[in-house]
Formats: sequence, C-alpha cells, structure tokens
Amino acid sequence: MSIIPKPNRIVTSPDVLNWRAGDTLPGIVLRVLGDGNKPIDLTGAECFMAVRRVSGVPTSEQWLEDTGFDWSEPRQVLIVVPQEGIVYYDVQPEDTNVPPGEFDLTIRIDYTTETGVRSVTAPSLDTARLVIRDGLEMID
Amino acid sequence: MSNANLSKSRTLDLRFVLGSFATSDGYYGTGYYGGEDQTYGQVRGESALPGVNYVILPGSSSRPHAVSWHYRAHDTARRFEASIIPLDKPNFALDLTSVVRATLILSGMSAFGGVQDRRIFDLDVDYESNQVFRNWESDDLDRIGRYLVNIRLVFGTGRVMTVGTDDDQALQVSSATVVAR
Repeated sequence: MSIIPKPNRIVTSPDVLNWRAGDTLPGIVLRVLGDGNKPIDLTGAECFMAVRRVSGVPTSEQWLEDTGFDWSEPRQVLIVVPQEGIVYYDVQPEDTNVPPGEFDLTIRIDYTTETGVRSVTAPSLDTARLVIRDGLEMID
Repeated sequence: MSNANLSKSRTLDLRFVLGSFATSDGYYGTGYYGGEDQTYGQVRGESALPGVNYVILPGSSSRPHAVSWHYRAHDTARRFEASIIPLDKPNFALDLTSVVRATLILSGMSAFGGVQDRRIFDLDVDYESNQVFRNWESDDLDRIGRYLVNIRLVFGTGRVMTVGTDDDQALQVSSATVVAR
C-alpha cells in the first residue's frame, strides 16, 4: 500500500522539461544567466532559440520529416521580462508530436548597436534539456 | 545599459524557470509583449501553471487510510481519484478550473516490464478539490494487472499536458476471487 510522502520532499529548480507526444504545456520559460549566475538584461534585444535533437534520432524518411523541436532555423522567442533575462517559447503540437528523444537548446541574443547587430549565444552546457518521453504516442 | 551588461559577462547560461509569473502578472495575455495576438500559451484569467514539472498522486477515494490505486477486478465501490501536483509547489494541487477534458491513460505492464496494452477512460473534474476522478463502471477493471498511470489534461485554450507518476506508483487490479472459509 502506498502512502504519499511526496509533498514534503525538497525540489530544486528543474533542469529538464518533459512532454509526451502532442503536449503543448508547459511552455518553455528560460532565464539567461551571465557571470555569477546573474540574469542578463535583454532590454532592446531580440532572442532566437535553436533546438537540436541529441538522442532518439529518427531513422525512417517519415521521421526525418517529423523533426519536432529540431528546427532547421532558430525561432524568435518572446522576451517576457527583459530585466530578468526571461524568455518564453510557446510550445506547438508539432514540436512534441514526434518520436521520443532528447534535445538541447541554445539562445541567440541579438543586440542592435550603432555599428550593427551584435550576437551572443547562451548554450545549455549543463543539464538543461528538453525531453519527449515515449510510451503514449498512440494516444489521439 | 544592456549592451554594457552583456559585455561584462564572458559566458552565458540557460536555466528553466517557473512559469507562474506568466499568467498572474498584469501584462499577461494583454499583448504588452509580442503583440495583441500573443497569449504566452494561456489567456489571461485562466488558472496559472505554477510550475513546469508535475506528477499525479492518488486520491483517497473516501478512505484516507488507503491512499492508493489498488482495486479488485470489476470493483466499482471506490472511484479513481488523483491530484496533479507541481513539484516546485508540492503542497498545492494544480488549479483545474480551465481544464475542459481529462483523460486517464492506463498502460498495462507485462511481466517483463514492457507495455502490454493501453486503455483510455474519460475523467471528471472536481473543481472544488482540484481532483480528477472516475466512477468505475463494472467492465472498466476487467483485466487483472499492473498499470502505469498517465493523465492527459486539455485546457480551454486547447493546450495539452500529460502528467504521470514520477516513480513506481501504479494502478493495481487484483483478482476479485474470494476463497470461502
């Protein structure tokens, strides 16, 4: 018999976002951190997210077309709270309705300066990654 | 100046953060960021998602001493109940106000740990207790076995979220046979 011990557990900030095929929640909320883990001010910037599949690589032609998060081009993401370095991506059904696997992500920040656009990237070098879990792909 | 701040940092990093600010803040869904047609995944006034990672927990089924999903075959006396708990705020159940459909997905496990079959049931939502439930019909639990449990929630905006257990918590259907003494 199972008792609920979970509500008392200590939980840290998530490193991994999980979806099942077709899920569109939760959305991706990211904070861009600089030195000392301090948020980067994104005021006046534009942000783009690039996502790359790192496991569960499709093998069939059909799957190659259904790349999900593995976009061919970076997509612009919303800067929700610029002073806190927080950006948001609205997950779409086609992003997750793909074979299971893991994805890493990179944010590119474009700042417009007097001399042109300056770009910097913030990679997820540590454990932050996106995961599409298996098991429920057959659900309508 | 943002450019100055940026140039001070030699390296940048990413962290997932909780999403609760998104629906509760005044600017949420108003188009303040991104234009009038942007909703940031939900519309203002909907229940907020307080976190990003969730698990489901068994409800008590009116028996507080027996919190589990353990049933006899063809059992209809105790209904299925579950709460959706954000891991970052584990003392609160997810607000289900804007949920328009909830589905129970049971994945039957084989003796070797693989998924043997899959069964889907519609769930009702108790908006006061923020629990989903199903009053079992007699044929619902006609197969003895151990099932992994997932719940798929469809919100008013059409957004979909599937939540499972994060451990070995499963739904067990045992034989209804009673040996006479």
